Amino acid sequence: MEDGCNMKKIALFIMSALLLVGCGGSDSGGGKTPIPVDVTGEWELTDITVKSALVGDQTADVYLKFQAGEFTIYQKIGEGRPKVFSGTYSLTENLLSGKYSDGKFWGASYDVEIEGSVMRLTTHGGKETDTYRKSSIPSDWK
Amino acid sequence: MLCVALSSCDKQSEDKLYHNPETSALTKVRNYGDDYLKSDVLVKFASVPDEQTLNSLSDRGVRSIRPLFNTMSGKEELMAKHGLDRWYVAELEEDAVFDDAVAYLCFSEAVSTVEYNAVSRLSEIETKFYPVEQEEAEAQTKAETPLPFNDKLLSMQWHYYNGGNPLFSRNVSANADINVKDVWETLGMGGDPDIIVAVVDEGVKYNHPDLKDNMWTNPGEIPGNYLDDDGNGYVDDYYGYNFVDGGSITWDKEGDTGHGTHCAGTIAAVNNNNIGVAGVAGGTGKSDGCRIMSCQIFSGEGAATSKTQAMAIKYAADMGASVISCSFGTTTPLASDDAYLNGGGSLMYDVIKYFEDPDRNCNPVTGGGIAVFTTGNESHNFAHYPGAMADIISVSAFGPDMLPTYYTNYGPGCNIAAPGGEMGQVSSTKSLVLSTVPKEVESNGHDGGLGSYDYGYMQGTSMACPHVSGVVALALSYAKKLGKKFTVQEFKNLVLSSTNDIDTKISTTEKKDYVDVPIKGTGYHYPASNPLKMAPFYHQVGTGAIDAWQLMMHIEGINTLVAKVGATSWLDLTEFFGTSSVSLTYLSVDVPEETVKSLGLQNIKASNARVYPAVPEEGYAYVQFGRLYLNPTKVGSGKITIRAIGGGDHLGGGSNPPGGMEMSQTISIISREVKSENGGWL
Repeated sequence: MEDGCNMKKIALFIMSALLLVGCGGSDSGGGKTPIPVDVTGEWELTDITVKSALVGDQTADVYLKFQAGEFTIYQKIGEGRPKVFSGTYSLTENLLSGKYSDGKFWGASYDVEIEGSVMRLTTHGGKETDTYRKSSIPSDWK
Repeated sequence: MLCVALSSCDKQSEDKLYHNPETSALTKVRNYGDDYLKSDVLVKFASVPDEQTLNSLSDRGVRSIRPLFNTMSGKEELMAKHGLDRWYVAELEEDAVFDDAVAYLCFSEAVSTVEYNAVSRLSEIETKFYPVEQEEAEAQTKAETPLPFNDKLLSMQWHYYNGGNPLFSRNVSANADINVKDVWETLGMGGDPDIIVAVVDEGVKYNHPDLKDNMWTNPGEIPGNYLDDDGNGYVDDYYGYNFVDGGSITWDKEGDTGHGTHCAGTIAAVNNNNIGVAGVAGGTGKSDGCRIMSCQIFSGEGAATSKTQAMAIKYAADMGASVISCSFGTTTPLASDDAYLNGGGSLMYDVIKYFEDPDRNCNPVTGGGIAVFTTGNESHNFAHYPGAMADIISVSAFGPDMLPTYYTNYGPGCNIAAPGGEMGQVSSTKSLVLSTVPKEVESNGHDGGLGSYDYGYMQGTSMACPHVSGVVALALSYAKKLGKKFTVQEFKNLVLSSTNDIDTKISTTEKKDYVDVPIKGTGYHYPASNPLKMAPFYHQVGTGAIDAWQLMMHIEGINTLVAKVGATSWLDLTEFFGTSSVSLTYLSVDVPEETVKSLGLQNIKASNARVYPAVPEEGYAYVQFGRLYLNPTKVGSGKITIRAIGGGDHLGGGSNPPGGMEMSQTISIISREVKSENGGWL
């Protein structure tokens, strides 16, 4: 008798859990699969969390290029000469992750949102959001 | 002790002169050694003296008093700023009683300082060069690694690029050099004709085939006409000036050694001209090398004096030099910078400050000049003055094994090290520094050097010094090209921060032994002590080995460092203080309040600070193991300034014992949630 009662409780718990999952999905995406985004192209770092947080004369100039699973970063953070990094990336269900050509992984994976010519990369599970806009990388950076 | 007889002084005056240590006129005397001229003394007046004052002092063996320096048009204000208009030379009668004349001058209230005209001589270890024979030179045309210039002997100049060839040392250390190859090759930077380096030394052989195209020439002077065409007070100063004999530069008198020509070649022998050697700032073969000005203070057997040294440096300043390369100094141990200034160095210091003054506008980068001195060759555990002054760069020497040499001075007052070569690392002379020499002077060659090739080997801190001078000239050239500006002190900071660590090698090397090399015709052998214990040199040869590439990167500017939010993390300071950052002595870490706010810095405490020094031990950030530790809690940016000692473990200056130069770097930091291991943005 007690076993049957327990079985009912377990069944109810599973149903509740499924409902909660459903509700959670509804909260974030209306129960739909995220609209696939395409990061292909050239992007320039614009008004982002970090950049907004910069004080004084601190600068951060960053260009990204994504093309057929390969990326290139052109960056100049503050003074000094620009640095170039490259490697491979993958985009799965709008989660962008990658690996540099020296074998090091990116410092984070990013949830990607794209609206028109604006792309926002938010650290997965974090709060930092970097915003980029479609832009051609200046030839003197390449 | 000064022995004085003033028969005509009254008793009260005598008491004032001799017996009261507070008011004694003899406290005005400045002298630190026994080697000085008795034919004249150098006098500094409290204010510019009038004719009457000068006339009144021409007595008691004082024949005449005249200004020490020529006044060039437009330089009056600058001279007054540094007191150079108050320095005079008092010439004494042949039969003058020296001490009597000095006391007489001291007794004048118009006189503030009487400085003896001290004599400096070249160190024994450097007096003769080892010639390169022509056949040897022509045979040495192939390097193991392709080199950027076609100078035939460049592959033998391990001091510029050392690929680890045992030809140069049984214990050769690859990269025991000044790391200039990539500056020439990658940056295409070899110098700038507007950057002038004055070689304050023996005369430079200005018609040397590997120097003549990089010699500075005075556009207002016609050489050899025995006239002062430009009216600067110097006759025939076309390539510089001979302050010993007056007139044109000489290099081939009996007693000359080729020292000045050797130093000049290291700084700016013409590069990529298919002959001879390369120079650090000798250009790229497109008439783009820095220029050499010869300020001759040694001539034959004639020694340099305080007076000629000061006049030479003043001349270099007035004629537009940006760097003075000074491979000389006093050998007297002195307790502090004050002791040097009060002991006979005040004239030298006044004139160096004049040289450094940014109002000279000698270049668009720093405005003022950079003075580079040797530490000395006596194996002393202290640097010689004036290089030992806390705010002047002084250079110790290392060999092709990247270790300090047996002769180099080390310890307090040494700021940085450069290749000086070292006899005994191999059985040949190839472990020494190779550069230009005048073939006319006697050498250590089998034929006495006469008639042989115009290149030779020498060793000494005198050879290390021009390496740093050349790198400084190269960096000024690069900064000029980039349109960068620095103060003189900022520039010195960058030089001392652009080094490779030597201490790591010293700590693992207890001693080094040498090949026994007989010194030709003397019965003596190199080196003096064998084996040489290395432990005393640990942490004692300045901030490390000069690195030209690092300095150029400092000139370009250093990327902002990225710290990760949410954890105590460390940032490597190598880019800011060189690979020697691990062993530097740090003084402070200054974190401005706005940086604390922007980064949300948390207070942190260094672990094992008792065992491993941390500065500070607790605060918003600290330095330990050459790393900057901090704990940001939010995304932001800021700046942190770190002060360190450029050479040794204590600061010099004032009445402190001789010590290092204070240097600082301001570091820009961004804190992010993202920090990749290789510095990539994503």
